Amino acid sequence: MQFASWTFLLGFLPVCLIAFHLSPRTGDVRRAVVLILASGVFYAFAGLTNAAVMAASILVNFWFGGRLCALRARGSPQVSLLMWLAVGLNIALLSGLKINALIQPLGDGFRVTEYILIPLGLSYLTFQQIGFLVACRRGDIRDLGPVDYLFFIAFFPHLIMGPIVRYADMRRQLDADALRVAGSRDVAVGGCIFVFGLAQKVLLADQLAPAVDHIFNAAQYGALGPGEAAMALIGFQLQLYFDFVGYADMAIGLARMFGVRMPINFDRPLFARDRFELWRRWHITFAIFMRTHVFQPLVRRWRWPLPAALAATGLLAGLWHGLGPTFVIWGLLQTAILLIEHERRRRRRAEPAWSRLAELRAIAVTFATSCLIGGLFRAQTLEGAGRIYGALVGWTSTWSLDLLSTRAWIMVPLAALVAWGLPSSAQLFRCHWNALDPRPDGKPAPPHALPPFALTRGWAAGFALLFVACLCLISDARRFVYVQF
Amino acid sequence: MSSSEPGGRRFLAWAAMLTLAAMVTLTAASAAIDPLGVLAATPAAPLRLCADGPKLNDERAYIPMLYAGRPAQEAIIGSSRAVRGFSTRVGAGVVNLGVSGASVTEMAALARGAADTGHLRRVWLVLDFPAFVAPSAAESLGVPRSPEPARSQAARLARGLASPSAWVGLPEVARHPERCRRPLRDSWGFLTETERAGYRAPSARQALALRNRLSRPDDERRQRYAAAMSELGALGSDLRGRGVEVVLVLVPFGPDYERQVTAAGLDPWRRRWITDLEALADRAGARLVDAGARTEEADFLDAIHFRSTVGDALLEGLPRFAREADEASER
Repeated sequence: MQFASWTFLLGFLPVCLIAFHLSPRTGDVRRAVVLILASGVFYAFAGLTNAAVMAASILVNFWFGGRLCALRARGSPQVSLLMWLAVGLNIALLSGLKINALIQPLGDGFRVTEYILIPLGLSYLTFQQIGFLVACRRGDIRDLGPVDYLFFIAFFPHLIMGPIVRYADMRRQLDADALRVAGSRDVAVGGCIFVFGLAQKVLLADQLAPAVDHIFNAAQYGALGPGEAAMALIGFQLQLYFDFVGYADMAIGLARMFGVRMPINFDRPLFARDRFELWRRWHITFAIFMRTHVFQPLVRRWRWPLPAALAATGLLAGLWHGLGPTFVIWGLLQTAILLIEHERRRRRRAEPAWSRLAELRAIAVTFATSCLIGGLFRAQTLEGAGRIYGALVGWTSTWSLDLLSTRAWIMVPLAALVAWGLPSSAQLFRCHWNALDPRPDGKPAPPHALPPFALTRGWAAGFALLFVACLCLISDARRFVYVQF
Repeated sequence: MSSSEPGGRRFLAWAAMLTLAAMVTLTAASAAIDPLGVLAATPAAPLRLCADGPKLNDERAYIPMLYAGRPAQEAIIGSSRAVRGFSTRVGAGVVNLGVSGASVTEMAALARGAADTGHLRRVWLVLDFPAFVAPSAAESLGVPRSPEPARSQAARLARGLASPSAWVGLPEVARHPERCRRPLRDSWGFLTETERAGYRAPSARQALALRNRLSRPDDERRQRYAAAMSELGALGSDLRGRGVEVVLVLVPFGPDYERQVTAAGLDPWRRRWITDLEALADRAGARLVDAGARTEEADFLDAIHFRSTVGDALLEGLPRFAREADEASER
């Protein structure tokens, strides 16, 4: 079951909300149990094999977590060994499944509509559990209860595609009775944030997808023109953005309906002025995870030179997306650009004073770079990527624009207008926004010229119509792009 | 402090009321226009304004619902060759479940759904060779597969009147009001449009795409072929077990396409394909009809679609249950 489906929107979610809000407010445990059970049902829709792998992973990690807390409390020297064993098992499971995916037919590249090859959400679950095990090892977690743990790991809004949450953040909210005090205002605001995310997914990303797929798939089998290649690259970047940011907003909105604050995963990344800034704004919880658990240990503990640590982190992040050649080269390119950017920053030393024009130019260059390397990410094979890049530089037998459907001509400019012209969720809901910002130096989004959301009849009507428009255009077959990772 | 405030409740009540009102309006409009043609077999549909039959182009939206409402005794299943290759002349009792770009897997799901109705006595599986050795056009364009067939009348009506496909189809019918009087297909799934005259040769770009599609790496081709044959074998046994006669139709392709197949070195593959299908037909007790010998341009709309005169002649080669039953019921 995915969020953008009738089953979820008109069946699962209303039942879950009613069950949650009708359950007694005598403590967080009952409400947490309702949500854990609901999450179990939600995940069971992904199939029993997936659920079994997920359940086994959760049980094993809970056991390891308990042992780590106990050993840490006793000051046992075995605590590090046990943590590495547990982390190794998690990585082995994920890597094994990724390698298995690699040997499946067409399993090495980007997947459009084919089946998911690894259990749904296992990547994100693995990251969260590694973070949890490290926190146990450090002594950040002292008492560990099964309800807290299950709620932290399986709460359905973040189960499939993140954001990657930290145990401490969830535990703090449970301790503060977040579930008990959740009420109709949270449902109203959370519901509207959810619909805002749903609209980005269904009305923008999913409408861009057929136009983009059409060109990338044509590139698999034949030549294409420079205009077609450029439109495909820009269209895919916008599709990816709305697909992922839509999910992140849906997760934040859903959690809010139950009184829970989720971390943000995006902070207007299309306004980033360089690659470093982009990675502070795009897939934030993943970038922080990689920084905390890979980059910093390499630099601080293992004394790796900064560029080497940066390269290793970038490469690992690329490999996480897939082990096929397109993803590997994409990861290497990302890393190379980060290294160049790092060197440029080192030489520059001071932060430049941005004029408006320079800022616009920097934003355009960063976006164009993302579009260019995004071709490797999206292409199903190196052959397809080669045709796209070949066409872009004019190395092609055709200069036609036949592959650009009316949909492409309408949706790409429209999506660009929404991306750069309309407010983000944090800006639109700024009067009610309480999502967590996991970045140490995170700043609130600047106010937007459009009036912010308020609990008025006008906004209610607007969001009701937006919701119905989404219901009309939902296609169950269009899953989220990042589900495959 | 609880965050339940009167503002929150009023807001939710207002939004829920508007949402409900919009959904009821859209469902009522779907019942009046019937974009997916699900009301054809429903006698009590007082609001209906349009003629029977699907009014949308999206076969994947309405095909899975088409046959649950029709007690068809014969079903034609295949890709766009099946869609275009048979005409309304075939008559009642035969349902056309052709879906453009259907893979063997998708065809198997449709055939099983049709058999589940309990009326089916014969299924015509319209097989094209490229579907076994190269990705189909729909597959290469990332078109999702058909949803599960609606097996009950209630599911059919729910999906036909209150679903994204139905609602999003309303503006399409509004843009083409002539479809209200003359739907794109009749209620048995046959195209109602007049077949165009003359043969259309593929453009240079189409020919290139076709060539690249046929020139897949051997590994990929072998995997695809094995999976499709295995799927077809399982389907044949399954249908036979349910008492449904299976006819495997090997479709003809236009001369331009034939040249591409030969140029891609696929002639040995095709010979192997025919041999394997003969063996499969023997095992599953199926009938094999090889229409591949027709290669005159006059028999084709374009390189890959044969004319309905060809398809209709194939069907007429076998005695018809449906027509007998239909005539009996008319008498």
